Amino acid sequence: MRVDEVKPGDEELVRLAQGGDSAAFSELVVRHQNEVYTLALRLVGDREMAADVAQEAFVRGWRALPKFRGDSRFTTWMHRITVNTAWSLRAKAARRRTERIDDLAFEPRSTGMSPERAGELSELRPRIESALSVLPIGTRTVVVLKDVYGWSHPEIAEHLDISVAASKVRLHRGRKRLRDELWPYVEEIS
Amino acid sequence: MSVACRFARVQMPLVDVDDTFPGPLTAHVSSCLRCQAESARYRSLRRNLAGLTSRLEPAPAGLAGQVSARITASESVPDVLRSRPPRVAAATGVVVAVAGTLAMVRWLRTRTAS
Repeated sequence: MRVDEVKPGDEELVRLAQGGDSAAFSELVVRHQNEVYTLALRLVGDREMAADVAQEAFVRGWRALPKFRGDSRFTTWMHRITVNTAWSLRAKAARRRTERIDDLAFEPRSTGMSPERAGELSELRPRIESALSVLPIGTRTVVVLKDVYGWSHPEIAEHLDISVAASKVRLHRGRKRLRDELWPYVEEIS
Repeated sequence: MSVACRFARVQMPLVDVDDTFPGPLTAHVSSCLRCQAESARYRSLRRNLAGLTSRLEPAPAGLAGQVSARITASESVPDVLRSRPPRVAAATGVVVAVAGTLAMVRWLRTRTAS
């Protein structure tokens, strides 16, 4: 590759891919696969399933590309597709296992993290990932979308096919649970 | 713990980035050290959650290749083009059904006449 060669931006690659250039889309996949996979992993909490979700999301993205009008960034658009894909694949898997995926199945579980006082932010983040991973899927999805990716409650409600009130309830439950997991020894004495 | 403290604790998980509490709770929290400490924990939690955006997990090796293979296998046909065959199939089905009905009516008439 020449040093002065300028890599095309996402918008250019999207335009080429919309014209049927699968190589351009493959470049988009290479660029954004870590983001999409990370989001999928945070949503489903399982590496193998997250890989399936990421793969399926990109394929759905390719198929839906003609409908992408560029109102949002490509990554934002892919995030939405990833959420929908994760939700549908998780629901299918849950149906197969005859599990309930909603919050009625909520059962407190320990993350197994050491009960230390809250430290520096850099120390806390891996613990938050760990605590997130054991939240029930419905709760975790709302917390991830709202607090990590900055979605609004109406956006979350629309994509998860739940009410705005339900989204708020899950956020409340999720934050409360994270707080309880992360600060076990600093509870106020009433 | 006072009633105001208990009420504030219930509200805290839903407070957003601006730390705005509903109504009179603002005054309570600003004068209650315990509630301020609790509010700070949630603020820290939100800040750390927002900071996760930049922490990326590496995608499994081969993911991009698998996506490319699936796209190639589907002959790189985007949805807009893909939606045509079902329409053609539906139209063909309607034509066959109408033709079949007409043939049946004609046969019944012939049979009745004879």
